[in-house]
Amino acid sequence: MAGTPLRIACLGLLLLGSHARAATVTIQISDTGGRPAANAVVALAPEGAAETTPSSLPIEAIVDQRKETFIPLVTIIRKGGHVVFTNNDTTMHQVYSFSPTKQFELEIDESHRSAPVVFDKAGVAAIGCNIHDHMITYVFVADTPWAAMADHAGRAQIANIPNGRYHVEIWHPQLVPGRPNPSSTIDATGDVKIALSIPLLMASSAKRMHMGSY
Amino acid sequence: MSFRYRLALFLIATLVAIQALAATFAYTYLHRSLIERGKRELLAEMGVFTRQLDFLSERVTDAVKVLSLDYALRSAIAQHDHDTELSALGNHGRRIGATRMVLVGLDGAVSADTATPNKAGGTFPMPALLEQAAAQDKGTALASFGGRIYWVVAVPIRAPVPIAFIAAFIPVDGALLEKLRAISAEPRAIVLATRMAGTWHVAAQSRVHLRHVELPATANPPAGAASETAENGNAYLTVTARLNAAKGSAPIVAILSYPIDEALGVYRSIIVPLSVVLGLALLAAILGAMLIVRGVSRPLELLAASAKRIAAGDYRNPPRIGRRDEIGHLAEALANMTQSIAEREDALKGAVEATEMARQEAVRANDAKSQFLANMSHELRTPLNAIVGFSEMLEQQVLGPIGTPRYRDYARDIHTSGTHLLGLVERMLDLAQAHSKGLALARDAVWPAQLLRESVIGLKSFAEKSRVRLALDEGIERCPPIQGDAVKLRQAVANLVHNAIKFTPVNGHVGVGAYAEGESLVIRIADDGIGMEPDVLSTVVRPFHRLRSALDGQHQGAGLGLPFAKLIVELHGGTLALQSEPGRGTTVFVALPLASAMSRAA
Repeated sequence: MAGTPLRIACLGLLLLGSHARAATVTIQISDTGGRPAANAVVALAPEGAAETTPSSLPIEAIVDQRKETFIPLVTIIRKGGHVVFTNNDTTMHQVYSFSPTKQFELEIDESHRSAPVVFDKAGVAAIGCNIHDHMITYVFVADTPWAAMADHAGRAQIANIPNGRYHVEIWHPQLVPGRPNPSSTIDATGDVKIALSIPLLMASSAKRMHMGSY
Repeated sequence: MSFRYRLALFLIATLVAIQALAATFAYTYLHRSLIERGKRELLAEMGVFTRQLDFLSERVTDAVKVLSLDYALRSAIAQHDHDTELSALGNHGRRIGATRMVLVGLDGAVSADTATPNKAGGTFPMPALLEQAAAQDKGTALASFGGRIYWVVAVPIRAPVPIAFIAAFIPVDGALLEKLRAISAEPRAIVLATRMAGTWHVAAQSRVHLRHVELPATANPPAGAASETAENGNAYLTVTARLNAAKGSAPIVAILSYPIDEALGVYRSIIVPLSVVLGLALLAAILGAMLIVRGVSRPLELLAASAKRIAAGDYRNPPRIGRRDEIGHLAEALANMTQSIAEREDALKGAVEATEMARQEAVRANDAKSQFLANMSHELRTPLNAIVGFSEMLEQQVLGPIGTPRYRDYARDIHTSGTHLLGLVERMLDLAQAHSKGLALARDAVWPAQLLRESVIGLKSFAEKSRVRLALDEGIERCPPIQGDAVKLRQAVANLVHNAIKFTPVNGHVGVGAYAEGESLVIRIADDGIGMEPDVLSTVVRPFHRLRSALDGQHQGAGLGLPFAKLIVELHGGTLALQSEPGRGTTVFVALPLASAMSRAA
């Protein structure tokens, strides 16, 4: 009867040890008015030399065009990854980007798909359609394995982060252009939960697609 | 002017004045309200003006937006291809009527400008416009540069996110203003003025415009200044208002003119029927006034005629007006008054007749009394002369000595008493004669000094006996002469002095003096004797009246001295006045006309 508590304690240490090496960061992002900032992208960059892990971010993504809308609005891929644009409309689309991250121009006939577009530079590419000017989509090219997009509740979660100190950078399509992206610093040990609020441009739904920055 | 006309004139004048006042007020009010309304409307027009500009710019904005979709331009911006940027801007600018197109980076730096194609750079002068364009997808503003006014439209270029702004400068010129004027409901002239080199000058004006444009006097004109001007016989209301110019631009004012006459036309059309109504009202009022005046003045004239008859003593037909108003009351009062007057006059007539009879009787009695007194005095004097004469002979023992000396004493007493009695009778005779107008007065020159000296000389012994100091003033020597009867005047003055001594106690003083005052000689007899109450002063000058205080046996007399003196003085055309205070003495002032005045009057 005396050994049982000790075994439980050893198991506890074991569990603690595994948690000590891989943290989970949960970030609640809202705008300055307290509304959840959906589609915000959180990227963590280790401060100083840090243990690297293989990126769990996708190497390939598909951005669909339906009813003259890019779906989804924001896509995260790892640096060097590629995106395939599919056209599910009954019209042609001329997909283009003048972003420094990636500049390209593709004509995709109806019910066709593009060749993969490789994004080998980190950053954000704002992609539009030269025929349908209201269409916009963003590709976030991450050079860190640790990035996530906030859901409708403004919550972003990144798991399996080696313990350490990280620079947190937030990007959002409605960030005020020309200003540095909001950032913070965290000590990732165990489960970390932080809340951040970022200034966003007021956007009516009609003009949302026209807003954005890279 | 009769009361009727005055009342009518007054009523009509009042009515005319009220109507004139009302008309003036109405006109002033209309005019002012019109100006105020015009001012308000024109100020509202300013808002309309900018909205119209905005409306006109919609088309331009759309064109600029289309330009922002130009893939070549987007590409040129992304590639920093300056030449392509300039040519695309130039082509589009020409198409939309912009004289200047500017490409501005998100940071506000000018990257291409068709006005200065060879050099880019610098900062766009209207940052607020860019902010508006970023936030609302479109920014518009009026701006003045180099003396010209532009409607500047800025839109962001997206690829697909904003990468730059295009600003199109559309000149606001006469043609554009004419277009605005033509679509406006109000006929007016539009002038835009801006400031350059410290002065205002016209930058653009609509084709229809006033020759003379009043430019603002100051650098910061008030928000809305209205003025009236006349040109070609038409009056214009002109409103100057500052337009909202973009930040960084020179100030701009819009001067809108509005013909007042056209607006006044509405009011003018009311004036004729209004005047007719007012005129009819005035006529009715005048007729009413005449009727009222007739209603008042007719009975008043009847009453006036009645009053005239009453004044003439005809009480038979008192006024009868069957009315229950003020006029009726007046007539009734007049009738009652007439009756009262008639009754009182009858009573008065009876009283006057009775009084006249009594008076005549009294006069007759008085005459008879005077006659009786005169006769009596004469009858008394004759035996008295015998008594005085024979008693003197007895006393002087003219016909031989009287045996017993006591008879001689008696004779002297008889002589003294007789003499006194004779004097009394003579004075009574004089008084009676004077009253019956039978006293003859001499008209000699009388020197006051001599008159007074002679008057008091016979009284010195009486004064010594009474131990009263009697003194003549020295001033009497310088007095000018009077004209009159020296004997009667001497008697009068002697009577007054005698009275003064009589009513002055032992060790008292009686002063007699005279002086010229104006055209009169004033003889003044003053004593410090017992004096009199003021209320008895008037009674003592009547014949036979003696004061109760004098009836004490101590002061003897018949009460003839003062009345006699007064009578004599008055017969000489003079006056006698008494001034007295009980215990302090009495002063008699006799004023007689100087001889010089008498001769001038003659």
